[in-house]
Amino acid sequence: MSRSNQVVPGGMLFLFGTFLLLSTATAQSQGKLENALEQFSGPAAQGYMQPVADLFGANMNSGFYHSAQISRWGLHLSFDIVGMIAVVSEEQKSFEAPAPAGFSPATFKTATIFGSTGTEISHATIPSLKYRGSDGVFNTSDFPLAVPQLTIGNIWGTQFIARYVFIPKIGEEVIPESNLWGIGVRHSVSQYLPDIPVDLAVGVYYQSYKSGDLINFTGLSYGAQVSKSISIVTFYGGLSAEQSTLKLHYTSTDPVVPGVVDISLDGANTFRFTGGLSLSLGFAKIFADANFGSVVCFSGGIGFGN
Amino acid sequence: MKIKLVLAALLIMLLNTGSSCINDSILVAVNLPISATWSINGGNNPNFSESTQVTLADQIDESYRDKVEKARYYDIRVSVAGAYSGNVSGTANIGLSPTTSVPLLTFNGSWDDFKTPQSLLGSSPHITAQPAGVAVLVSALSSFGNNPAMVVYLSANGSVSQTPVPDGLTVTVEIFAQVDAQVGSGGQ
Repeated sequence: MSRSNQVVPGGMLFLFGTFLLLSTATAQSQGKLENALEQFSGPAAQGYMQPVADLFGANMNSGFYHSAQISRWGLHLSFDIVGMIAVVSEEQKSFEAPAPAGFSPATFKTATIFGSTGTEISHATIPSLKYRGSDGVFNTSDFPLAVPQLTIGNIWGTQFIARYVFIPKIGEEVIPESNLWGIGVRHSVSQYLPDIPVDLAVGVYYQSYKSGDLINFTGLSYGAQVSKSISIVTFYGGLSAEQSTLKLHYTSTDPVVPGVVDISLDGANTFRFTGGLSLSLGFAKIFADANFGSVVCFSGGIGFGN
Repeated sequence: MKIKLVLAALLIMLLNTGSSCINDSILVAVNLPISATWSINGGNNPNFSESTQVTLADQIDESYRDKVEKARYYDIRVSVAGAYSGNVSGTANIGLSPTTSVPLLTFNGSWDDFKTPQSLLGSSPHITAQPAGVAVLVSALSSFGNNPAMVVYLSANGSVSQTPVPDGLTVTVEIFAQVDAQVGSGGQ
């Protein structure tokens, strides 16, 4: 593939602005999220937030590669815009929340962060006692994410990948400073197996997202990739093991157990199969893949470079 | 040029997808604790009678005060603090004015019983809710959305069983309530 046309400064500004707006939209949701979380004790917050741990973890561990072809030596530089969408299942829109101790019923089904309206319940024997869960923050069947990604290589058939988004603090306690970053390294296996008809590589990726003091996410993924190019089409796939953890830190106003709450939520995905294809269009390429694990998610985007 | 259009379309799609999925406004069930603590004077008088004025809006974060809609309560607790070996009994009252209080609940038991909060949800045998006061409480909570300046008057009168009464004894009544606050695009 030929080297990319340079993105003009105006284009870079457009890119930066778009990512800032997209990220700001996400960060604005954090205000509502924090409002909702503060009302919860730890156990209730876990159920409310578990779907976002599952889906965000799956998204973050997506989109790192679009081919297994890595030359042993030579300059490789590509800039990708990667979008990910995880599918929100119906089961992830509600959860069995704990009612206050002694309430009858002891648990009730109400909205998660992806649900709609919170449920109000009445005590079975004292009907004037009522309790309600908060509404969901996201009204969607898909949970998206987008990141810019840079890939640099090749040294002994090795490439390095980085993704980064920074959102400055906006206002006082409205949108906290947030940053998302990820790094990865891929190594060609097929360089050691010159006779095989496909390209093989292995890779490991680590990423982090931190937003104020509320959210601290980390993810790790490693696996093997395979690809085969035919003309301008590259078919690619892979098997990966992964883990992700979303940590929440907030101060609960629950009158029974007020105070600082620290919870740690593990993402549901631990293994995934990826299948996708990319199209080389001169100085750019477009790519899309599907990822199957406990969470189904899709990634796709556009890349510039060689 | 076509690539730039594809890029723009992709980014706008992602932007729209990312922002449009956030609910414009949501109802957050905000904790509204209403409580009053009254001291029992030390000495030879076993009786106590105290009152407190509680402005509901002061019990929640300032950012929610103009967004309150429906409200409800889910428990009432009575507890004591201080070292005492006798019994305590009395009535907690509630009113929408200082002169119109009605009984919210009665309480009766040993002082030690109340060292652990006695609650409606815990089916405590030591407290009994009174329908008249519960009706006033529900009325106050129901009116809070339309009247952000809503004030309730809590009072307690009762007695302890043994004199002299040591210094430092207190009785606390806590009403655990929630208000639905509309947190929207015009809010936070």
